[in-house]
Amino acid sequence: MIYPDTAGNDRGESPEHVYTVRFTTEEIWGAGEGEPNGSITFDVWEPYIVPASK
Amino acid sequence: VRPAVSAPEKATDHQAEIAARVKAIESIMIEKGLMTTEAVDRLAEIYENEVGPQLGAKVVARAWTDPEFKARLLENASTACAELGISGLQGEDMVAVEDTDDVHHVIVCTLCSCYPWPVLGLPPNWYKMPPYRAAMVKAPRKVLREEFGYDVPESVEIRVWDSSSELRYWVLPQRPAGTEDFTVEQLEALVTRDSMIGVGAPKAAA
Repeated sequence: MIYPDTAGNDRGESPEHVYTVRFTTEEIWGAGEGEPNGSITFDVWEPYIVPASK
Repeated sequence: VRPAVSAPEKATDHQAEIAARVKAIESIMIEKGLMTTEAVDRLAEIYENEVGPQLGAKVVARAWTDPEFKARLLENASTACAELGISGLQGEDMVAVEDTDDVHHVIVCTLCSCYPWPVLGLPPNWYKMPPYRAAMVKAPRKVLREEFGYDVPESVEIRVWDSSSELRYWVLPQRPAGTEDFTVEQLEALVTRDSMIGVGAPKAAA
């Protein structure tokens, strides 16, 4: 899909794969912070994904 | 020194500023012949009067009464809507998410105001405002209860869908109880804009 980081800056559509990822509210906000029994999904373009550790 | 202003006044100032800037850009584009006043008026008319949640309601009522259509809608909302002649800008890739007894969905655009125009028309102002965009991801259950008077039982998961420039989510709400004998037209009348955003339930059977 059109990559907004380039398309929005006059650098072409440069399509990238998009993944819709889901986290629980606890994963996002930390234990005890988020409301229980909830989750959030985000659309993530391939270049946004980097290894958490090597 | 500018006097301190309360938040709502600031928001109004900000909106007035944006309105003035849009007006200025519109005048320049018309002057340069890039756009005509008729085209601007026509576009405004389309999105003010012709495209709106009544179209989404048609799709929902059809899905409630036609399981095969519902399957196609959940598989690819844009092509299923196109079967009913519903398509257009800001809805090239729509995803309909289905409410069940276990999961309730709600949509937001944390970054700006991404919204499925072909089925819902233009977004309501509160959808575009930072308070909704921030609070809906942090405490959706509380926002639904306190701001929208919509109580989602603790046993039901709330799944918040953060819309993006390419993917536009919207909610297929649950068919209200007691509507087994309803016609498609009667069902359409129960489907509200808010129920397709996920901040309210469809109207109950009268």
